This record gives sequence, structure tokens and C-alpha cells, in this order.
Amino acid sequence: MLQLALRTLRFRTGTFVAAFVAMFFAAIVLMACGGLIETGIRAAVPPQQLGSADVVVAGDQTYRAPGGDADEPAILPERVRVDAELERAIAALPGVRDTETYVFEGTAPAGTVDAIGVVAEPGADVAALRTRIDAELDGATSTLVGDERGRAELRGATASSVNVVSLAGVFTAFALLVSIFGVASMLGLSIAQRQKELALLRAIGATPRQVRRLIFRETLVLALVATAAAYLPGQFLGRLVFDLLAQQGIATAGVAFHQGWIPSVAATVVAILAALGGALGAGRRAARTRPSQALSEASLDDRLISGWRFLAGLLFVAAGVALTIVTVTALSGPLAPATAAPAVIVLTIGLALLAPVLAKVMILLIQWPVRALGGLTGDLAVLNARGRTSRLAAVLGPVILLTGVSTGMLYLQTTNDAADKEAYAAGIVADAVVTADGGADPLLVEEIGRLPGVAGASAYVSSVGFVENPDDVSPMGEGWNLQGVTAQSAGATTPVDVTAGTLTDLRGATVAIEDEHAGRLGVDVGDTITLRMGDSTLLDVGVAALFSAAEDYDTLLLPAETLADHTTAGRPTRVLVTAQDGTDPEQLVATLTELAAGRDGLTVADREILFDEYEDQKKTASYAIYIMVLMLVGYSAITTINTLVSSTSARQREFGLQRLVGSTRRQVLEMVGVEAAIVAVTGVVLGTAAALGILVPLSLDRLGSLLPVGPPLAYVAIVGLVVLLTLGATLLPAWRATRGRPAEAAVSVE
Amino acid sequence: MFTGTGVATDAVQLTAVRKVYGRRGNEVVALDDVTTAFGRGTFTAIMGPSGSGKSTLLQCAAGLDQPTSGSVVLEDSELSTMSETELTELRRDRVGFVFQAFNLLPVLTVEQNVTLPLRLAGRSPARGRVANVLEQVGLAERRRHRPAELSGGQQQRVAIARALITEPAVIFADEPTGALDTRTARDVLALMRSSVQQTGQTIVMVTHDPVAASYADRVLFLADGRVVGELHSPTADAVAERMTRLGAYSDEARRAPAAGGQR
Repeated sequence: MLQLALRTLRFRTGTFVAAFVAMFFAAIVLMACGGLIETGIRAAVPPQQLGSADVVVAGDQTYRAPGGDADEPAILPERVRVDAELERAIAALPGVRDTETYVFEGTAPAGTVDAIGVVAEPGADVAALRTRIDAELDGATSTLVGDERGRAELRGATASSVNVVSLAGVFTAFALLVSIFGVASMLGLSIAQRQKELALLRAIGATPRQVRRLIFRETLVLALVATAAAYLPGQFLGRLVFDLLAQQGIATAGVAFHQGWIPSVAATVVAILAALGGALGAGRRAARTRPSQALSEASLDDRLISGWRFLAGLLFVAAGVALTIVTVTALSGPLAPATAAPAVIVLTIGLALLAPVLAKVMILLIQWPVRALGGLTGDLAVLNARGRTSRLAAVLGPVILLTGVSTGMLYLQTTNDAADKEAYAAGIVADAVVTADGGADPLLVEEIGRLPGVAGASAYVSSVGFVENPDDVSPMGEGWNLQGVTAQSAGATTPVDVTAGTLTDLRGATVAIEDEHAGRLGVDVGDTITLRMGDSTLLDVGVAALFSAAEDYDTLLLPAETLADHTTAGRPTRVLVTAQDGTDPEQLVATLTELAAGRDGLTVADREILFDEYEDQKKTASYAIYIMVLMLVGYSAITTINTLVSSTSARQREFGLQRLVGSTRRQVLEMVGVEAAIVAVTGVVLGTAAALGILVPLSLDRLGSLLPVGPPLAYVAIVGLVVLLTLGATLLPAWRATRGRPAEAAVSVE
Repeated sequence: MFTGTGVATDAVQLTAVRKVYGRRGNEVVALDDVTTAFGRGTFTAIMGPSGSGKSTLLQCAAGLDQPTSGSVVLEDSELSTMSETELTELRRDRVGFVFQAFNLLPVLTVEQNVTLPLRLAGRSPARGRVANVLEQVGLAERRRHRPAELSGGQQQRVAIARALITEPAVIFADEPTGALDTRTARDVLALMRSSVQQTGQTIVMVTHDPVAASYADRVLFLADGRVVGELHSPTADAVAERMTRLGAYSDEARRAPAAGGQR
């Protein structure tokens, strides 16, 4: 059987080109993701200033939040400083020749530094030294060696590396599903084309098991070659994507791209398993070939859909619906994307699996207009589409996938961005923003507050923190927003309604907290809670007030000075100013500009400056999603072209026969064109339906609108691309297949 | 496989075989109560108009398809109760096939095509056996060629060699000369004839061609799914004459549906 498999691959290469291309690109995507994951996990940052140190002691920027993902620790937003006293203790350890302290960001509070570089005695065992140093450290400090050392300088590297790992992880899963599906549909097609050959094998004594094994071995050989060929392009793509991510600030520029043998081997194994997974269904279909088919002409497909495929399709759709329900009901606000993205993929694959059934329904619906407009060629096209459901389903699957995934992922992102921005905007109450480079001290805030037309002026600090005591789970385990405010004007500059206590009590170590959240924690005004601040220090704060706010207002309010002490900057630099009723915001900005004119380092802007900064931050994250979506779309586009080209090229004989009975070449091409249009319309409708299945509930939930937010042109472009691809990938091969004389084509044996 | 305990003198025995296609309400009776037998070492041709059930009879007798009711016994095995895998193994060991076209796997050489049934069974051909069989069909020189490099007649002879290699109880041939010119067809038929005479091979052949049928020991005529007659030691003329009457006969039968076709 292996010999037959090898000889089939060798002499009928053409039949397998499409499946090979599908496997090849799937392997490239998987390899690239593997490289990104390794790069992210290593987070190797060659050190600059710390180059002379053998071991670097620096703050641990990760925090394992209760309720968070253990593999994906939360990243602390502020520089975690190191106790300067540690230097003396470390210097006293055996094997230490010299120590030096470093401060990389801002001014470190007295008694702290950013990192301690430790130079080992010549010949000392660095690993043993590291262990000795580790014994001196508390939980918030860690040691770094080798290429890790640079992380102490480039603090963002840790955070961005976690992002890269989780992004690449998610896309590995997606790429896997898409590639199993792509390979399965390609193999299905090539088996449909070889039906006579398989029937002959069955007639002369191959058992169904032997036929299945034949398909498996062919696939295995093909997958081995495809993944081997994908090795270098995969590395190249991984590096390219990483560089793009670094350019956009998602990955940190100083981090070195790494693709060792482990992710390559893992990606190879996964790609081969995906191909074999795809061969499962195809092999089963091949094994079902009836031996008597060797005697008869190729018959029309008699079976609409196999039980397995139907079941799998229903399961995927059910899973997609379940994820949608979870998205809308259980997870609210910014959490929604976590389940919405998988929902898109799962729902789309479900519909693609059910394509044979859905195609039948769609054809019933659109046959009347097609027949009315297309005349005889329309008639023929409808008959072809109806008579060859499995061929139709094979070409329809990738089209549905392409439309569904690209539309779904794209608008998911834009809708969520819009909703996030709306939530952010709702959380900021300000008509003007004063930025003080030298720090916004309370006197300045007070001075601004006394200006004419000003309703309130509050210092503004933002960070992220966690509630450690009582036990608490923050949104996605990524912490609560902490906002620093000035007590007397907090009411005028935050969107909250105080329900107990008063915001003017926000002085010293105090906090104001949303009342339902307080209820879950079981605390009330006057109680004390313990916060893990953004710089990893613990802070006991008294609850000064409870408030109610919009559902997605995930913010705790603290006194600006208290919070600023736990930020990298160390002091507030912004003042939010609201205008009195009847005062024009522009007038307010003018008044403030007048004040700023006389001082150094004061600038005035309207509230848009905050939104712009927020969007800048968001943009980088969205960009990462777009790159990954682009990779997936590229892959499904290739699968689509692949499937259509090989399906059309295989019909050479049929086209020849049709021309022999009197069709002109033009009529044949017209018929094929109408068929392609049926595929495109059906695929776009079903793909869009899959995408809307999640987009509509999500935008209802997050924005209260039926339609997702996003540039409508993007959808037009996607549909245009799909139609163009479908028509092009069908008509070009049809044009080529009808180039010869019809009599030759009609007798050409497969 | 063949134990020899039975005293079966027939290679294949069909009893009251009925085959119905299609779903209820849209049934087509392809075989209607067919009882016949193919003796060992005989060459039988099955003839009849299109749609008379020739191919269905061949498929049921060969274990390619299961009858709706009735019994098919090949040597001493009852086929109608076998599973698909059992049937496959039986076909592999005891049955040879020659089809009208597309008989060979295009990617395999002549030799590989011929030995395929043995290798599917996990056996390797006895020393010299392949050479013998290829010698017998006159293609010893061509064993390393691929089918695309052979003429149509040569391809059919490779198919016959493949059928002969397992020393099957019976070879079923479906229009083996349908795609060949008359000269080549004669060579192929002579080859089949000689394998019956020299090695006692049993062959059952479906054909349209009275000349092809004249190479057989016996011709079985089918019409509307029933056996309507047979000729022994036929000549081409006798077969052709009988075929013309077969058409007229079936016309009469349609006019008087109560009359049976048994003769």
C-alpha cells in the first residue's frame, strides 16, 4: 500500500497539488505561531546598561491574580522597585565581586532602586550564586540572568511578551481548525476525482480498511514533505510578523526573535496531525466507494451529507451558539471579546460543515432568479449545483470560512473598540485637561478650581491594582482601574453617584468603591481593604465612600497623591477640569490657557487628548489582531482558490462533452460563471450569517445597537474580494480547460 | 479457501436471484427470479438488450453487489449472507475481473498491476508465476511499462493477466472488447478462450457483440431481468439471429404481460 501511495503521489502529482498547497500554508502559519510563542516565552532582551552584571535583581512585573489565568499572569503597570537595602545583603554573599544599583525610569522613591546588578567573582558558579541571591528575595523581586537581564531595562518586554504568547496561542488554535478543515476539503475533492480508481481497487480486492490506509499514507507522505518545505518560510513569516508587532509597539523592539527546534518540531507534529485529522473524513468516504462503481460511469452523488459531518456541524453550531449566549449574558462589557472571537470561528466552521444541506436550501431559494435571468445557461448551472452537492459543498466550505472569519473578526474588533472607547469616554468627566510637566501639586489644582467658569478641578492619576483582602476576582484577572482624584472636586470630575459616605473624605489611605462590588467583598464605609498596587506594594485603605456607576465602570477611586506614590511617575501630572453650567468649554480652555501662559511646563488641551491617547494604546492591540486576521484570511483565500481551481480543472471532460452536443465555448463559460456566482452568493450569505450570529448579540449587548460598528467599506471590500476570488478561480481554469478541441477533451481519460 | 469437501460441479450457482433498485414507489426490477449456474471450466457469454439486467447479474454473481433476495453460491461459499469485508476477501482470492475500460491503476507498472490482488491479500507471488502469466498473455517484454504506454488491447491483456494471477474460481468480464477494434478484440477473446481450454479456467462474460459471444461454450440470453433462453456451441450468426428475435419476443411479452418469459 505504501508503494501504491508513493507511486500515486509521484505520477499523479497534479491531483495533490491543491492538498499540498493547503498543508504547506497551514504549516507555515503554524510554524510562525510557534516561533512567536517561543519568542514570547523566552522574552529574551539582550541587556544594554546591565551587560556587565552576571545576575540582575529586579522587581517581578507579573502578578498572579486570584481568578486569573495561571499561565497568563497579570502584568503590573508600574515599575516594581527594589529595596536598596538588598544591595548590602547581596554584596555580602559569597561569590559576589561587585554590586551596582540602577534606576531606569523616573525618580525612584527614597530607599528603592530599579535594579541591582551583581558581578560574580571570576570562576564563580552563576547558577549557584543566583540560588543564593534568590534566597534573600521576597515575592515581589526576582533574579534575571543571560538574555533575561534586559527585561529589567525594557520593562514593557514582559508585558508585550505575554501579549505575543497569548495572541499567537489563540491563533494557533484558529489556524489549526482552519487547516484541518482546508485539508479535509481538498482531500475530499481529490478523492471525488479518483472515485473510479478507488472503485477498481475495491473490486479487485482492496478492503475498505486498505483504501483508508492508502489515503492516510498518501496524506502522511504529503504532509511530511509540505511541513519540511514550510520550515524556512515559516520562520521567515514568524520573524516578519514579530517585526511588524514590534514596529507597532505590541512586541518590544529590543526583544530577540527566537525559533528553536522545539516550536518547529511541535508545529511540524501539529501540522501533520491536522492533515491526518483532515484525512479522517476523506478516508472514510473513500472507503465507502462501492466496487460496482468501477463498472459504471461516474454517477451523481446520491448522498446529501454524511452522518458524521452533519453531527459535527450541529455540534459546532451548538458550541458557537453557546459561546454567543455566554458572551452576551455571563460576560459583560470588556470581557465579551474573550468568548466572541472563538464563537465566530466555531460558528463559521459549523456552517461550513453543514454546507451541503444549507447549499441545497440556498439553491432552492435562488434558483428562480438565476433561471429567470440566466436562461438555458442558468438552468444548467442550477442543475449542476443541485446534482453535485458534494462538489458544491467542497468549494463552498472555504468561501463560507473566508467570509465568516474575516467579517466576524474584523467587526468584532471594531465593535469592541467602539464600545471600549464609549465606556472610557463615559468614565472621564472633563471639559479640559491641564498637563503639568513638573507635577500637578494640590496648590495648582486649587488655583485652577478657583478660576471663573470652573465647576471642579481634580488631579488625575490612573493605574491598575487588585483587591487582595477580602478575596476578590477582578475583570479577567487583569485588575481594577485605579483613578486618583482630588477629594473636594471628585464629585464633579467622575461619573459616579455616591450612595454612602462622601468623596470629600478621600484623603490619605482611603478608597471609594462601587456599591455592588463592596457588597460582594462584604465591606462598608469605615472598613479597611488591602490593595495590591500597580507597583506590587500592599496598601491598606479605608473605604470612604460607596457609589453607583455604569455597568462597565471598573474603577476604584483613590486620593491622587496616595495613588501617585505607587506609580512609576511618582506624582500626578494632569488636572481634569469641568466647566460650570452655561460656560462654553472653549471659553474654559481659553481661561486655562491664559493661566498656563505665565507658567513653565503647563499645557492645556480639551478632553480629546485623553481619548487620543487611549486610542493610541488601543490601536496597537487592534493592530495585532488585524495582522493575525490577515494571516488567517490569506490562508483561507488560498484554500478557496485552491479548491475552486482544482474542482474546475477536473471538469475538462464534462466541458468537452457539453461542447460536443452543441454548446459554444462562451456558453460553457457562462454556465460556469453562473455556477461561480451561485457559490459566491451562497458563501457570502452563509458566511455573513455566521458572523452576524455573534456580531448582532454582541453589539446589542455592548452598544445597544442592532448593527456592529465599523467601516462599511471593509465589508464591501471583503464581499468584493470573495466574489472576485470565486469568479476568477473558477473562470480562469474553465477558460483553460476549454481551450483545446472539444472532441479531445471529451475522450481524455482522467 | 477451496476445501474440495463439496461435490459442487458448478463454479457459481444462482438460485431465484432477485434484485430491485430504487426506493418504494419508484422500484426498478433489474433481476427477476433468475436461476442459473456456470459450470467449472466453461466459458459463458451473457447477452441481452440494454437494460436487460446483464450487468446486474454479473455484479451479483461476482459479489460486487448483493441480491435483494435469492442465493448466490460461489464454489462452496454463500455470498448473500457475507459482509462487505468478507466479500472483498473472497473477490480477492477467488474472483478475477476484466472491465471494459479503466482496468488498470495508471500509476503502477504492468507487473505491479498484475500482482496487486496478491499484495492486497498480503501474499507475494510465487517465483516465476508473474513471468508465466505475462508470458501467457504475451506481454513478458512489457512488464516495466505503465498502462499509458500500452495500446488498448495490451491493457486488456494486462487486466486478464491480473485476473489470472490468483488462479480464481471464476473470471468475470464486462464488455472486455467493447473499447477495442475488431482485430485486437479477436486476440483478446482468443486469449480468454485458450485459458479456458488449457487451464480449465471458468469465465463469465457480458457482451453486446455476437462475434464475441461466439467464442463462448454457451450463451445465456436475458430480457427484462429474466433468463429467456440459451445457446450451446454458438456461432456468431445464430447468436445474432437469436438477438433479433429477442427484441421481437420482448415486444410480444409486453403486449401479454401475464405470459412468463421462461423457456
